[in-house]
Amino acid sequence: MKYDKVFTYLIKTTCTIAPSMAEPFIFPKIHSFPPLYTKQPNLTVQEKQLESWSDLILNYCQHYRVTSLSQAGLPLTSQNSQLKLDQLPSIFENKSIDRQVNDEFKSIIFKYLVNKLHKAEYINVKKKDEGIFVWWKPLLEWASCLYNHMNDTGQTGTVFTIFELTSSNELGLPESLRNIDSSVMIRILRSMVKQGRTQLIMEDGEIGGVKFI
Amino acid sequence: MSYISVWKPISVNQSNRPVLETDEHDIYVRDGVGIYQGKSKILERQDGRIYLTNRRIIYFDNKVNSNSCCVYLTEISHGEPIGRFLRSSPKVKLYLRKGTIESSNNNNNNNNISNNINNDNNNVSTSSPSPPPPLSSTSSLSSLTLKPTKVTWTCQICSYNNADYFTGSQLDTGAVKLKCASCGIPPSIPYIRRFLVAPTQTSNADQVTDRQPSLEVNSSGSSSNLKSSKNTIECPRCTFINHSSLTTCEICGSYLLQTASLELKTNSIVAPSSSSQTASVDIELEDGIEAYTNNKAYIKVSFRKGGGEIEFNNLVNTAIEDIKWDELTKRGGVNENAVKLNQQQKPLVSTGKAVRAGISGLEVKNELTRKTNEIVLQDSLYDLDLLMFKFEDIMKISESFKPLLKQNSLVITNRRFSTNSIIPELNTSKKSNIFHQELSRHLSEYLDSYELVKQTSMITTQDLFANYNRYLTMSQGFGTELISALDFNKAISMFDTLHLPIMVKKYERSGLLVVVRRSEGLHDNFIALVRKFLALHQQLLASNFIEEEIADEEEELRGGTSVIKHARGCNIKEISEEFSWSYNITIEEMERCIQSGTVIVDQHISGTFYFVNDIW
Repeated sequence: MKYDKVFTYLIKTTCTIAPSMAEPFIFPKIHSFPPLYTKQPNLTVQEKQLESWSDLILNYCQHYRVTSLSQAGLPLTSQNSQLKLDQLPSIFENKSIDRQVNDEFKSIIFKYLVNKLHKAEYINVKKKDEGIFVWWKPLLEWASCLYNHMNDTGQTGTVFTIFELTSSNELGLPESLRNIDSSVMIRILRSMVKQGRTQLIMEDGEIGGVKFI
Repeated sequence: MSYISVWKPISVNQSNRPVLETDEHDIYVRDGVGIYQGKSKILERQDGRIYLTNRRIIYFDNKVNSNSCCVYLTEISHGEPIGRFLRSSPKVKLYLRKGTIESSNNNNNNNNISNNINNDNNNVSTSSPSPPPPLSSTSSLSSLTLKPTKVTWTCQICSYNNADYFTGSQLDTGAVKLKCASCGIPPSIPYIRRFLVAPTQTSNADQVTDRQPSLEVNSSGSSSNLKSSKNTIECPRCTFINHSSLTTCEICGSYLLQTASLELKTNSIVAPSSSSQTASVDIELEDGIEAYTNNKAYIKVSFRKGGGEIEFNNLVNTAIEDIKWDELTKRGGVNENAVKLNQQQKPLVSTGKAVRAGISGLEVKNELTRKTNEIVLQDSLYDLDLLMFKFEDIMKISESFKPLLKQNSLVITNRRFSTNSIIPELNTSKKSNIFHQELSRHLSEYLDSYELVKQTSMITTQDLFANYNRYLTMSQGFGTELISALDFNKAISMFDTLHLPIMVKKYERSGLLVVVRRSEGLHDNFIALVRKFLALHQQLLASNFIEEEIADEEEELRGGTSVIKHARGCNIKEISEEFSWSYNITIEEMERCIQSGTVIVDQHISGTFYFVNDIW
């Protein structure tokens, strides 16, 4: 009896998901645990609670390939262009148990991600409410991936525009590197400059072109 | 002869107060008291409290509870205060009623049943003549003649049973003029003397036979009959042997039940709560020998802290009088509904102007009495009518209050007031210096039976104060004097010094004071207890919800079949009910739990919920 129901349900769900849409993110059990949404007064417990939140956010972002989140916890950019960002399930809210994280606690969680785990960065350090980049893949890894690809395909020494790197598909970038948001790409490129792997050609205070060395 | 057996053991409750019998209540309490048997101190009973109740005088030892003992007021004839003299503290001398001791010793003896009946018949009222100790018959006789005794004598003319109070000496000097109440013929003095002496010496078989000629029915061998069958009662008047179930004598119609019940009563008084306690207390005297001045047995209560002996003495005497009066009413010796009419009657009779002689005079007199009767009856009927009207009014008023009352009583049952036994009320005056101690003990008793119903129970002092005062008005009516906060605080601070089973605990953070049961280690265990309770609660909810989930497949698959998903924590109210804490205590305890990391919070607009910390 029970299996019948499960089966019919499976058919239903597979049909409703648009082919373009990725699999929905399955939230872990803890997402339905009410105390998760309240900042715990006990500091040691709170530390662990923040860990839980960080894991959740990183997993969520990785799943949807979301690269940045707004202060409210809504995805700002994603590599997956077919995703409708405003239709993604919200991280900080669980309607089935009627709980959501308040703004104060959200900023604490972000602070933890940025300062403690170094898995995120503020988009604008001076204006923290603009949101964060979420490095579910570390920045250095992004950089080395990109450089390796350029190196392997013999495109070092060529000058590209940011637009070419992010939006066009002429470079033959692998799936994982495609469609990165320009602001995110600039962060990646800046980190590569420090390693001496790229040169940025500045035009009127903006990046006009990039040369991989 | 030893009178130590007047001391009986008592039972003591947890709060170090004596357990009172039904219908018994405190009249007076005093601290710093020692007791004496005759001239000498009773060892190990020199520092205690004395409780005077309407039944007993209880000595309650301050050091060793088991040393506490009591004397029934029925054993005491009267008290006499002795003032402070140099270094000796004021005392109250309580004279023992000798007869009761003797009869209590003989109670089990079948041979003496008939004597007892005779005795009881005579000694129910005031001082009773005791069966004389064999050594000093003269002294007993003298004591006999000293006190007026109730003597029942049968008129030789009309054989009516008269009862009069007089002594032998009064009879001799002619101070009392006896007259038969029925026919008015005075009896001869030697004849009366027989009755005066006979009941006192009935321990002799000869005396019984001596008495028989004066009685109409000759029941030779009645005593032997009595020996053989316990189920018969000998009539105290005519000696006819009646069946035990009869209340009145079949021959002469005098009451039988009284003697029987009276005997029962003395039995029950002598051995209270028979099985559990042995009837005697082991008492050692300081001097080793019992000695009494003036050959009268007595005990003494010494007020070490001074003062109060006169008050105590007065109270003892009134208590004894009350007991006597009660006994009298029980016997039906009091004309209960009688009304004094003399004020109305007298003027009417006197206004009968010149009381004429002869038949006309008698007629006028008759007329007058008839009139007075008429007036009285009319008045009383009118009053009765008025009373009925008032009664109806009162019923209407009470009807109008009913809705209010009902709610109240509901509240009360919720507050578990009605469940337990009633605590005897506190009867110490506020001025007495033992008041705070007693209040403290009473509080402890109250807590024990109403508030701290569970081992984990706690109550804040504020709540206790309110509830206790509420309880006072509930149990003693609205006229009760409430306990002031000052007295309350003093009483609370004494829990430790009085070694009561409760203690005051203070929460460091908020300064909240709570009252808890004194038990080792429990209070550190609260965290574990709370954790256990929460876990259980969550499991319960989870198992309920899993069933629902199976029915609701959509839910099941979206969130995964998670147990946590539907878990709902406990709120303050649920936890409070579980542990019977008041809310602010629960909040305090939960904060401690959170501090220790065993419990986590979920704050929501619908309330704050607590969960076991299994995850973090």
